[in-house]
Amino acid sequence: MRDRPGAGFLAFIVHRGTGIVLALFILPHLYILYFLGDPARYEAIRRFCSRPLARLSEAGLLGLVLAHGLNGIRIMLLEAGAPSRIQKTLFRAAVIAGLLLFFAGARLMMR
Amino acid sequence: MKNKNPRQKKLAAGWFLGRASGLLLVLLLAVHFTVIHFERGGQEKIPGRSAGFHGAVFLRLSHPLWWVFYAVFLSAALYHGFYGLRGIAAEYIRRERLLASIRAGLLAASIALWAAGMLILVNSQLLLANPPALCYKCHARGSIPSCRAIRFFGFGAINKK
Repeated sequence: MRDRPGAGFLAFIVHRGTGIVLALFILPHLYILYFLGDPARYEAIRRFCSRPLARLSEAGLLGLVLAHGLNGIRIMLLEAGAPSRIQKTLFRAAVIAGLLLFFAGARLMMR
Repeated sequence: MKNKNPRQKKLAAGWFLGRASGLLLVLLLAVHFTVIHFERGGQEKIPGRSAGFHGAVFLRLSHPLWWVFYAVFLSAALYHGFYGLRGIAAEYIRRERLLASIRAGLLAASIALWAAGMLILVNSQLLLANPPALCYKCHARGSIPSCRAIRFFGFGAINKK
């Protein structure tokens, strides 16, 4: 019988996946900011970003940031000496905090 | 462990900076999201009343603390992101020469992105000092500082003819 992947493995995959996406996101973000020197084009891009689908993807970005950030805090706590027996509890706490912050934040973003 | 060799010290410093930049990013991202994305949904219901609005971005960049905030944000994000990518590459790539090339490429990309980001920040200061003759918002001739309050509080529509 194959073992079910544990919380630690799931956290590892989530942290890695979100980390890669967020690192690669820096490039398009800087590309948009490049147009700060051209107000008309910058505003055109921003108007495009106000479309519902773009706002939904912005909420998705919040989700990625929360997943990576809270998992990062969990890793740092474990590295700083938090007992490994509580790592599942920390994972659950990160998931709950992440979901609460995500829905609160997404609600503000989708207003 | 005491008496570390220089390579170990370098690795330890890199690891520490990776963690420190991560912790810093948690704080900086909280501020960034609160100011840019949560404020009126990040979008303007009333034209010009968004923190992402061009005039509002410039208003923030005209303050030295915000300028420093974005410079630190850019540096921390690039260091943390590319340090992470470097570590992932090291885990999967066994061929040393290929790994060295990828590491060099990542370092070059991170330096190029940092330079591009800093150029955007420096350019914003140049634009504040020497604004375009024609204001893009109110289409009145004047400097950005003279009408930025109008833009920030959002009177009038964008691209008003």
